[in-house]
Amino acid sequence: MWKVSGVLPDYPETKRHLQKEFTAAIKKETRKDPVISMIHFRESYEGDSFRFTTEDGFSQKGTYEEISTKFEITKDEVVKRGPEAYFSRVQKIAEEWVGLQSRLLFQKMDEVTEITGNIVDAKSKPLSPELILAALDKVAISFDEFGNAILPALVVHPDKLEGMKKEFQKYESDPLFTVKYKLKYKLIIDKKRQEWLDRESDRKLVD
Amino acid sequence: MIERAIENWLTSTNERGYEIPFCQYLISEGYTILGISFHGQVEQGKDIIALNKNGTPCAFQLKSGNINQRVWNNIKSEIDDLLEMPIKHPKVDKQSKRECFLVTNGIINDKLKKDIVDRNVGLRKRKLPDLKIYDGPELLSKFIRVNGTFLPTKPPDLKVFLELLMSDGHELPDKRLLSRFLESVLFTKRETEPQLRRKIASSILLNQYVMEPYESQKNHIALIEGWVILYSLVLGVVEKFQLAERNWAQSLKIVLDKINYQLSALKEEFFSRTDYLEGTWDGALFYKSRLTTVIGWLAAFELCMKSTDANYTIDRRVYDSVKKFYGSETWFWGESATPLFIMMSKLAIAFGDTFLSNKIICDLIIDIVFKNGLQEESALPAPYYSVKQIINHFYGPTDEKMDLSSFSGESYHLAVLVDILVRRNRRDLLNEVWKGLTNIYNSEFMPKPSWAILRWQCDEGESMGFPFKKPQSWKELQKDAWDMNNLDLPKSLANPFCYYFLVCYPHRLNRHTGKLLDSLLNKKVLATKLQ
Repeated sequence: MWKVSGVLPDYPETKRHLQKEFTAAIKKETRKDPVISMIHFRESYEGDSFRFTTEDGFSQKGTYEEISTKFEITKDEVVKRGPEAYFSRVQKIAEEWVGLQSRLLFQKMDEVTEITGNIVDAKSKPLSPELILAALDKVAISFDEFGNAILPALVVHPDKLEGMKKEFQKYESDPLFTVKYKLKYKLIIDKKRQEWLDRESDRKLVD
Repeated sequence: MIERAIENWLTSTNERGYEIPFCQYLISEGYTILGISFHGQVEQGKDIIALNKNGTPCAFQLKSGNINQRVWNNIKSEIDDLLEMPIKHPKVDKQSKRECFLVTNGIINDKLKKDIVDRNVGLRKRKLPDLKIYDGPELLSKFIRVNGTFLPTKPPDLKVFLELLMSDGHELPDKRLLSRFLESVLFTKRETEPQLRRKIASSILLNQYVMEPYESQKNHIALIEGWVILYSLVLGVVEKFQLAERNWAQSLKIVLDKINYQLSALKEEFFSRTDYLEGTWDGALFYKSRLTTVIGWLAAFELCMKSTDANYTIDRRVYDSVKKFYGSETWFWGESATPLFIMMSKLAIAFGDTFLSNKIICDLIIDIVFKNGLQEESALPAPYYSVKQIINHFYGPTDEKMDLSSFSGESYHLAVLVDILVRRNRRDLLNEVWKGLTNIYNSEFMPKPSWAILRWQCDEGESMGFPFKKPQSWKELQKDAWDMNNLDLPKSLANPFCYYFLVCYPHRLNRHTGKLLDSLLNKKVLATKLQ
């Protein structure tokens, strides 16, 4: 018996097109995630390392990390459904991808905030308006052309969300606290507006 | 197989097509090339003049196709000139003994060969040189002897080779693919000096081969880009292996001559045309991209010539074309067009037109600031994207569309353009756009080691990003823009070829190469500052 190994006719060009569509579909799905959609991605075209400096002068060097996810399709399913079998996995792949990217993002944020000291320690207490205000006070806030604050996103684990809502309802039922909270919030925003105006007025050439 | 491929190329090309590989063959045999017909230094039946390794002047006339009695009758007067007229060149004594060659890539028939031998007897009596001949089979064996070992044999290299040959010659070459192919010949493991020398020779032959589709269409810009890529990669080899000049200088000289010849042919074509349309479905962005590319290259040519020879008179017609077409008929399609516009700006300044020169730079800055702001939907693509990719985005199939918003918020060339205005001391102009300009994040790539900048793509190197400071000190900007001590570039780039390099490799335009470009006339400074 001769052992024959070879290929049967294929359609590489059409498949390259499908691969592009598949990648684009995953990308579109991941961008639906509220955290991922806020991130501005930059493409690196060459090299094996990076060095970035932020607006406030913080500089970080590093190398790229690979993130990957796996999916499986049985031969039977491939035979029966063809490309549809691949596209049916898009949502699941995107979910895993979002998880991986988010983990990496928060890990990096932890590293950076550790270095910059931009941390509000909750000391194991539940998230409260006071803690949110303390956090707001720590970050730089920008304003739109109408003078409205562009507030940073608050990322909360889904498991904690319900508990947090209940906790906040308690505060809302206390009129004195609401007034105090709103007042403090306004003062912080006023301060942040001034800081932003100062920053904006620094967008200039000086001697 | 590769021998058959070379044979196929050699028999199908014309004399212009094998002229450079033949010169390279002569260099490999110890000849010193004194002149090549395409740069107009040679005449009277002589396409190439050279000194052989004993210092004897030699003249070569190149022909294509079979030579029989009928062809011989047609070329006889040129052969007579070759034999009877002395070589006119400052390095050749007119009275000295010389050798004359008739070269063809076809067959010289046996009867004619016998006639030539008989004729040589008469020539000797008249104290004229013999006519020596190289025909196709001899030429083929010479080329294979010089190049054979390093020609591509591995299937992936051959696949790329064939892919390059499949071009119909009308479009621009796939520079990434061409670089990959030439790198597979040039950049392998550590080699000895003679091996590297032969690799350079092989790469010249192979480049001529893959340029054949463009050569047959007289696609000047494609040819210019193809040869600029080869020149850059050879410089990369020279830097990487610290190769002594004797191994490469002559080869690069003929390559540069070829580039300059194609540029002068492009200029001739451009100024002889009444319109710049090509084929059907033309106009609009096709037309503007073509004019931008041609005028940018012609400006680079004039600047390179002037930078090489201070006595060169810059062709005013090119400057007039910049004035005539800039704005209305040009298109800043993305950052891969920046170097073309910088060349136009530099040419304008060479004619004292600071208004136009600064306007071009300011327009680029304004375009980048307005189009590449964060979350802009129609941002200008990074310099890694060719004009072809961008044209395909607008007119091509749906899967060629790009997500232009992904380029928003950053620029590879903004800081380079700012530096240009800083060196021109135009704080007043920068003041007008500074606020918007600080919204853009500056990106830059620095290859490691520094010579790798001469490659199309680098696996090693650092991607960098930085914003301008708030507030930004003008003095600090000036210090950075003029400081030649921090240039991290190979020494071999500090020559007029840099104009061509940056037009061909727009992704290599950064603050370092931008500085180099503005300092090319100050060679003394460069020589001391570059490693």
